[in-house]
Amino acid sequence: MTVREQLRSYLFETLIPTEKDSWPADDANLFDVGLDSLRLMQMLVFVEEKLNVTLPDHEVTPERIESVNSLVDWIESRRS
Amino acid sequence: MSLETLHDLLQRATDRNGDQTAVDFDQQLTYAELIDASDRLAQLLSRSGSEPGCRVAFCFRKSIDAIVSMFAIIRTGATYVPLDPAWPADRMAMICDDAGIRLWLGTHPPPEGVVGIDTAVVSEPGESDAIPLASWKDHDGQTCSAAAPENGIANILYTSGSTGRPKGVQITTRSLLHFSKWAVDYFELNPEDRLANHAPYNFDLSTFDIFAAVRAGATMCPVPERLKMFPFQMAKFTADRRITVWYSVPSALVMMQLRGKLADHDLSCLRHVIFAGEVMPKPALQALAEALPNPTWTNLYGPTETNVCTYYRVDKSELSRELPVPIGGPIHDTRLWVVDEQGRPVDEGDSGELWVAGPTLTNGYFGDPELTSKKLIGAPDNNGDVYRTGDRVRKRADGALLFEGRIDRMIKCRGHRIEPGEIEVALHRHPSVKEAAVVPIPDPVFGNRIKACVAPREGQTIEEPTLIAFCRNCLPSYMLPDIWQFHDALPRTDREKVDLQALAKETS
Repeated sequence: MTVREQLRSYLFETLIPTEKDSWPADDANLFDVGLDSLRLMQMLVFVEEKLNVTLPDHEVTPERIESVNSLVDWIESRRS
Repeated sequence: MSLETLHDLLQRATDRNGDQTAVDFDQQLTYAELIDASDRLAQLLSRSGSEPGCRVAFCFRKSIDAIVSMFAIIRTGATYVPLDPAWPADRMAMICDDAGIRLWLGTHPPPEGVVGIDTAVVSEPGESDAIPLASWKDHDGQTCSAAAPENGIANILYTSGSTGRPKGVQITTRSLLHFSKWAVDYFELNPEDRLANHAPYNFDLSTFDIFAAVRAGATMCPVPERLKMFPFQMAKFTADRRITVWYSVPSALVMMQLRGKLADHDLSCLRHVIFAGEVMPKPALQALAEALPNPTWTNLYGPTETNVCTYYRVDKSELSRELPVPIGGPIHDTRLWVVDEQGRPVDEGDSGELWVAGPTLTNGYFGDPELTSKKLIGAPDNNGDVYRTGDRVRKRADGALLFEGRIDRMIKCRGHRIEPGEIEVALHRHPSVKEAAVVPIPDPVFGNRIKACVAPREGQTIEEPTLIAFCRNCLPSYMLPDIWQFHDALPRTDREKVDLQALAKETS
């Protein structure tokens, strides 16, 4: 599975369970679909532990977390 | 003696130094500008029917417009009813209906489904026929009606209700005047202070951020909503804005301690860190105090109904103890009792329900005399009413009160009060749900997480996403369960009641 797929299934199956036919688009605002402080912390732990990518706290900004697209870009950039 | 009003606080701050910055947000506003804008907006609102006894919807995120609007409503003598813009339309409609709201002030017009609004005054009217908030500039502020007298209702705060409907706690002007006076005296707030405004306006914590700041002639620094989930950005904001007084729920501080990299920021301006709303985990507080050795650390306590009624300043010896931070002792002019189930004082050091009396007390739930008479009863010293908090406390040998839990099922989660009954009522509305129970699961950062246990009707299956989508239509996001568990039938105690303790223990 790609980072995008792993992230999407974690987000919409575990973190913010959503019916499969109404999963938000990759550019949808995650805060609007229910990402809150508790879930954000859980997601950061998921990315660090399951995807093995270190995410420095000072890089955690609203712009990077905003959508699946921005998250994937950020995670990919931390990988390379 | 003429009665003091909340508007007097603003007037006095302006008289002392009108050039002092009142609000520092995306722009700055001086006290002279704030009083001018709010007086003129008050004129506009008066013409739309805002007057003493009238309730006005107040639906804003943190902004300069919000603070101007709040003081404008106060100026007309009306009561503001804060609504969180993120709430589902259903909840807003229920509250507007309950409070009999005809006048709406907000960033946006009321959402579809909210009925009964005659006039909306909004900062972003878009295509709607709402009056633009900025049109206050066309008014003068000379002929306003009187501001609310001391015995008026300043605001109504809606909190979760166990029967499935939120209930409106009436916060008196007297309560806010008294509490802000105590806060300014105790924390020695002065015009040099810069207060972070972290709590949303529908939280009672916000009344400190605003009325204590204005009483002191200090600067209010609203924390932009989009930073709140980002601990590093919040710490940076605190440093950049040279915040001197921070007040929030513990979870915001715990997040900053865990992921804010406090050592990377210059937080030397910080004089006081104050927290309230739920229990502060001791290990997090120890780590915070180690990272920030300069500020004082104070725990404030009080249900919405009493405003802040007790406080505890954490000293070095308290920090080294492993037990939770006490809620401490009464603020000025407040009386406390620890009583048993019959309302008799317990023996010194025994645990019992906390009863509170004093000037900060609510005078009741809006439109609900029955609930009011259950919660507010004659004080044991025959001096006015006492509020039965439902909180179980115990007095420590040094006199400080310790919070031990609830005598009912209320859950505290990120500072929010949540009645499991309200979530259960929502779940039961789903046609496939036969049984539903909601229990708290303790969490080291967020106080509690919410677990929903559901049994479907015979032959039916339900899935988590369906129920979440269903609940989202009527519950605010902080009340949505975090953990779901499905059962064929919910476990029962030998008295045939749902076994909540078993459900809370069972891990999914």
